[in-house]
Amino acid sequence: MQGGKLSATELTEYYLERSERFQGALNGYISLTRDKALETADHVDSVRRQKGHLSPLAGIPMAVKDNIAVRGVPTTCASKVLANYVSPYDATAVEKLADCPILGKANMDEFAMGSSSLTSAYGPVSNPWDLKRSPGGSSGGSAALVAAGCAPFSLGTDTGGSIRQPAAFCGITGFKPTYGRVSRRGLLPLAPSLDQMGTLTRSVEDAALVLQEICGYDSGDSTSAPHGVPDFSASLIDDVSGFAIGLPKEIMESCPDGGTSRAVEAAARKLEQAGARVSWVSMPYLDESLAAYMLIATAEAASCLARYDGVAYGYRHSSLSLEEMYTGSRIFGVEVRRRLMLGTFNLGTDSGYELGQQAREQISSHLEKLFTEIDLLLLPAAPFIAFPLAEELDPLTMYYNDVYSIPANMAGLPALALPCGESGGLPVGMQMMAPRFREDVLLQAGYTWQCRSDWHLRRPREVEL
Amino acid sequence: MIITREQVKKTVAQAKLPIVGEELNGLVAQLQEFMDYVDALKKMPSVTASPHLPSSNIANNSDWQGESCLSQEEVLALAPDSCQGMVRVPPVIEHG
Amino acid sequence: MTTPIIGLEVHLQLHTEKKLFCSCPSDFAATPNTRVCPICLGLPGTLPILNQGAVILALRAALALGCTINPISSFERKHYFYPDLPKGYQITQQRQPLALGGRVETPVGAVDINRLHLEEDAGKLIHTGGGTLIDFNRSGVALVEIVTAPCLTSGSEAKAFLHSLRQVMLYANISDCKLEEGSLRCDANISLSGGERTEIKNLNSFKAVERALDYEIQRQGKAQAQGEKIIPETLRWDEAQAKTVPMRAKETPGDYLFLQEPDLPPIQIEVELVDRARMSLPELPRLRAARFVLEYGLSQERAKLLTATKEMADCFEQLVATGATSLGAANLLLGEVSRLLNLGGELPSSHQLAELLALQEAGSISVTAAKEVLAQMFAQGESAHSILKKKNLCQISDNAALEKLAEEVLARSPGPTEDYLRGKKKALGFLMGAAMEASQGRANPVVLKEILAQKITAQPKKY
Repeated sequence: MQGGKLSATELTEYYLERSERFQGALNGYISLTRDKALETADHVDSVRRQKGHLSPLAGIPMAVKDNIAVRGVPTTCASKVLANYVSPYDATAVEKLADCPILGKANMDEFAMGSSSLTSAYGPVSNPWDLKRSPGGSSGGSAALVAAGCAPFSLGTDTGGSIRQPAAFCGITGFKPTYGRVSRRGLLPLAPSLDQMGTLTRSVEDAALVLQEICGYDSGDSTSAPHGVPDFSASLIDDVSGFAIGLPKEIMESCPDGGTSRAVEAAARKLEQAGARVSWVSMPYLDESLAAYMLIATAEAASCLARYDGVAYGYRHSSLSLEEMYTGSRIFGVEVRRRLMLGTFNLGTDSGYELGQQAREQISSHLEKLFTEIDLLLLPAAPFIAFPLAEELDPLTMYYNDVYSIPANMAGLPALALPCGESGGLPVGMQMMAPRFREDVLLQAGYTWQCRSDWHLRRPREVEL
Repeated sequence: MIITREQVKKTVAQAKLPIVGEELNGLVAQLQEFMDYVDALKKMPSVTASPHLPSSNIANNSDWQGESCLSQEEVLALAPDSCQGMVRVPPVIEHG
Repeated sequence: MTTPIIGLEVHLQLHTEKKLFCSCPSDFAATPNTRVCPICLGLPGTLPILNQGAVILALRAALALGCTINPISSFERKHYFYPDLPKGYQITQQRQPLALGGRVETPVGAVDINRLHLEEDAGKLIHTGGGTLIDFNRSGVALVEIVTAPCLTSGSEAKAFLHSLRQVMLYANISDCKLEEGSLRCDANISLSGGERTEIKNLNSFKAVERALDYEIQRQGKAQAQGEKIIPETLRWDEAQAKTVPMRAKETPGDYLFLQEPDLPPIQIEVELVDRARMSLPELPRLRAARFVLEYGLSQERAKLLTATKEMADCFEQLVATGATSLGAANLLLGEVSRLLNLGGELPSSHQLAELLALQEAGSISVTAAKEVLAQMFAQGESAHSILKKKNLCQISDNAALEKLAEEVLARSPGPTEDYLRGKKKALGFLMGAAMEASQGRANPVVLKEILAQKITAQPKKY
């Protein structure tokens, strides 16, 4: 593009056309924003013609998960309660990527509550590797679109694994940065103390490029980290010699999908050959972590979703009685209703949230101790591979999807999901976790892996034309 | 902890959710299952918990510009119903 | 009868230009829904950002009340559904308020303060026949809530407390404390020992506080005497009926759901910040009154009156600094100035008053003229000199001018002059009146009287 061989408009048009063509099969978008995308592309092209200043990613289109505010377009969180809501402002990350044409708002689980993208009020998303299977969730649309080549990259959010599990299900790279690295301003919260925005890309290299743009302190988010952002491209080195990698024994032994644990262990051996020291470590309290997560996330969600009352914006049920207007306007789907009930109930008990927070401290301090011995943890991104859309999972089994990813959210750690094999013909993802603010370690290890493997280069056959 | 139907009904009212009948009955069992599940946490050895949010200095955000005000038209355009420059809802019954 | 137990919750709107968690202006009486941004409208994805200025003001308020500042202060969400609350929760401080303890000295004794914390205001509801209308301009405005210990025992004590609290808060420039604009609001909790507690809201004047509490003491007392149960409920003071009426079932703290605010880390209040806030506090009324007694030799009563407001006390000291005697300055301020202030005027600048005092003390203006000048000053804000000039009010003390005046009057009034010479001393009064009238009241009466008497006796006898 800088050489003038390809215009932003041409590139955007290519992705828009692909996005529109596969929308029926994938249902990856809640809204497609063709006009807005072309407007941005045109702006970029004209600035480039005039040799004006552009950001490094200028002209590269993206899909934005529908729980991230984009000015002037619907921001629905895949919920009926926000069906007609148009955000009057941009999220900070979207502002920072202002030169990236926005193809559309990616489908997701309603209010990011789910690990399947089945809870969307706008229909489920299909996995491009097998349209009858789930792409995972909650950033299922974001993951499916990148995997299907409908978007070069997308923005997602991760509260308990919502970037990493769908990245694993769809065979792409998912990066959840350290809590506080990316501003949450404009992220419609599920659980503010756990939510973090991140990227879904084809490769670690792409992730580094996008992260470079969206990370950084924002005075508009009081939980934003004041830490400086290093040059992430400097970490794109094919070298893990001297890295101490910990493999959590309990997880590797108990992973319900044998194909997954085999693929992750094989990846570990390959990294060992590349010079890393791999050792077995103990990562206890997984069940407790999930339980604590449920306490915290549901309580915070019940609080954050109290604002959807039909008064000042969003869907309103017309009624002559205020009380009926309230209940009639809060038309969340069944999963959201269930979690709001759990959350409200435990906000009303004396110790629910506190209990969760105490367990969280415990889990965090254990991980902190672990990282005094190792540089990174290597584990499966999810206990399962993509499951059929038709499969009815009971809520607790569904929540179990996040059991390997939740500890990173509990402790605010950066984590990366990478394709590392297949199981039953479907992608398997492994996960790396590093200490807080050590995105560089993940990028270097992830880059090394992708230099020595080709899983991230494989494309789903369904959408090849 | 035993979850009663009354407690669940109270929670429904607090959360202002349109939940009745079968769904409500189902939730009694689900809440029970959930509470039993999270009860495991009580068995965790307790640590001296530091607050999970690091405290901050109040001068932290001194460069913050703030959001610009919306115009009355923008506010009313977001609102499902309005009247005389204000957002309208069914009457609030203050006393009676 | 058992002793009433009364505790007050006072909300003060902080004197800050911006709202507590966004940068919208917090001015009163703007066009509805024009002081609103995505944050205070609770739009999805917005985050609260704490206004430092509000924290510093709240710290000053706490220090002015002698509270202990918590080194770490946290925020909580208090959840309830109400159309004036756009997020479905109010951000307040529950577990670690900004400050604890403290007291307010009142003329009828000290009142202990339990806590002082920051919180955001809700929007304003207007009830009409066609539904309830919401103006979100007030939503998110910075408030402090001050909670007293349940140590008050009567309506008059409550009223005295509010007066004293208001005085201190005005002194420290924390809030403009205008009840009519809602920048000071008061709720009361009341029970008779052993009985259930009720809460009274909608107390929009100090008099209403007093009357509502006295009414409620009587009502509860009567009920107790008749063996009736007091229902723990929230009441509203109905001014027209002069009685308390039930509002809604008592909202006990257990009915609100609280959550530590995950979007706002707890704040550290550093010692240096507290010190700076303390240093920025002006001398507070009680100490100032005591100093006035010592420094200016004023009586306790006059010192107290002069320090009733910071403006008055500042003005007094400025007058003395510009050379006025403390007696003259106190007389002026506690006399005519106070009278005009009570009529609803605004205090002129000390510079203007100093000029007037100087003219008075130099004898170039009569007491009557001084009053007129002052009235004009209150009304128009003009300087004493320009008023005097315009109105021609300068006192004539010049001998030559007064002699001329006397001669004219004597020439015009041969009758009274003759009477006086015949021994009718009263006739001098008539001549004085005529001369004063001729001078439009500006003649210095003491000098004039002397000159007149002199001139009459010095007149050649015509017969």
